[in-house]
Amino acid sequence: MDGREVARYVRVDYNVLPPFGYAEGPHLSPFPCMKQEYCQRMDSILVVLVFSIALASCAPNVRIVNETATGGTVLYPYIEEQDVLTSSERRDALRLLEERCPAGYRISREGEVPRIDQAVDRAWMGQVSRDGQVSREKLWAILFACK
Amino acid sequence: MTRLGFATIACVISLVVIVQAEIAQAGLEDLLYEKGQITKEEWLKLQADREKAGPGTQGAPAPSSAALGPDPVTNLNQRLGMVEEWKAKIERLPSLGGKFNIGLNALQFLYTHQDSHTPEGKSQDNLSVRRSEVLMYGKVNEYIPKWHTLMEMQSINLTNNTPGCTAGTPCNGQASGTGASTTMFREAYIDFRPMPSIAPNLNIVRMGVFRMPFGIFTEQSGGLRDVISSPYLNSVGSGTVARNGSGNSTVGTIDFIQERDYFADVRGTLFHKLDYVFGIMNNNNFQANAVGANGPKVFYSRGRFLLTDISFVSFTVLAGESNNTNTEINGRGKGAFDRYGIDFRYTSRYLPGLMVQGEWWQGHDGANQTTVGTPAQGACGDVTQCGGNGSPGVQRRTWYLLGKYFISDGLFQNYEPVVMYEQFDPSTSMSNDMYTRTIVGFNYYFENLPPKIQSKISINYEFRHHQGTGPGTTVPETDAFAQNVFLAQFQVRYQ
Repeated sequence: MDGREVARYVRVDYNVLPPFGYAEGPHLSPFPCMKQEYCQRMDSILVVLVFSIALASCAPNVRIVNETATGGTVLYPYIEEQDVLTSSERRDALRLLEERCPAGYRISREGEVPRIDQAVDRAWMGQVSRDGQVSREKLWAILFACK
Repeated sequence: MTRLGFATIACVISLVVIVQAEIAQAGLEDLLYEKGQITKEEWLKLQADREKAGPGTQGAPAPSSAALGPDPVTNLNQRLGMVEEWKAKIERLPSLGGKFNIGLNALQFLYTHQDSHTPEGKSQDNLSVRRSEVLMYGKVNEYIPKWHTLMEMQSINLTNNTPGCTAGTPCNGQASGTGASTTMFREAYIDFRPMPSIAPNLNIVRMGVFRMPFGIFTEQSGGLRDVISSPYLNSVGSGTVARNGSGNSTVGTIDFIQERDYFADVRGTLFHKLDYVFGIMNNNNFQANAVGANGPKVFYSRGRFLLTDISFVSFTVLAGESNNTNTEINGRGKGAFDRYGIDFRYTSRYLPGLMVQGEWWQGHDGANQTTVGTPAQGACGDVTQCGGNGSPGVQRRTWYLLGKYFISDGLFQNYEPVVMYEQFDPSTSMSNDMYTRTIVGFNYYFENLPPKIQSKISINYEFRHHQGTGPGTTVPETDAFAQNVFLAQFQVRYQ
């Protein structure tokens, strides 16, 4: 076995294609779909991505809990105190109330509520974050009753 | 002077102090509330307590009209104007305006005991200050919603690490240990919001040095972590890499994903449900300011789908090129470089206190060349025969699963059991090289501290296992990743 054969053997042995596909060499591209072998897989990923975004777009940031025939509680997130009354989330919440109560509604109580549980929120102190830093997001609740 | 005289003077001084304290208390409560030192509920409680106590405990008797000067009603507008003017000035103070805040990201005291056979002269026990991070941050305006600086306060010019000695040889003949000091600089970045009107769809452009937005653990600040050790996906292995063809890239420290780097990226949230990040990074880790190793750039992107406001699934990819020169990221080699990751976190509202998270990562490194332009041939015994040198690029894979449950009442109130299992495969095409670890332990949170202060004790025991460095190999008894470890850590955090 000469040197070239040894080299070829070693390369084949160690540089196997990984499951995600991989092409080694100087023809580097940060966009894998430029390589033929990636395109079919990337198409599937794109379909999943678009479908997920479409699904996500249907979900509002405001939600109703404890809903009854005559009312319930609507929740929306906020960061700063001034956002409680001026944020787009509050507008969404009030819009949702108008949809649920076409004849009008009455707000009986408002206030900050725990994100998970009072004791858990206090112990974890902002650990429940989306970016690894301390989360300052809070939750505001509106208790309402339809007229 | 008689004792009675002393007593009289002491009483008068005490009375004056009490009166002054009571007068100042109302203002102090307001100030503490404005600064966020106390919550609104505590502020209201203090006000209620004051009212309940009645005027008798206010301390200060009603001053006479002579002491007040002119009738307060007659110059009410003037007095209100002064108060408004003072309030406007106070509100401009950086600490109250949110422009400047300072906190303790984490102050951690760590004790470790490892069951490994340590080299002669070294100890199995270690007591250290794991982190002493001072955090400064603030909001300038709507266009600069955040600036951030993180410093690791520590001594520099520390003495060298204790070197190991070969058994049976005199220790005074061994080489000295490596320096133990490191950089104070940790993170510095600024967020720029180009168009506040379209935020959060296009929220910010973040520039600087910060934690990589890859997965959960890498991005998670040290003070927020649930286990003491960093996961293997950040760093695993020890020793030095042999790049001369006689070794392979499974030997030495593998920083699969470095924690921090130089970045510029764009972030936003679409439809309130999809957090996205895409940008470019240096990919050679960082050193303080401008002297860090420069490297080929890498593009990265992450999409995080918010299943609820506290649970999510993320997909991350980075692709580009890495080099082999002056690298801080051993084993990444020169050439194509990529990482793919999936992570998730489930935080339960049905069972408050339960949280489960996991990450799965895979990525390919370039070849480790010892001579630029010469093909790498991997574990070749004779590089002159193989025609190349160095180690080939390898595919690596790692994953972990972590679960914890905070107990909020009963005998074990404020305890939080934690369990984590992880695997790291340095080369997917090589057998007998797997790192595995199981971490069991608990955190205990101290309560009744002032708001915004968190203090906890963490106790962890790690069951570590390292198969070897390839087929037919075993690891030495001194391999720290093959020996169990006990860790105990006390932490204080304030923001």
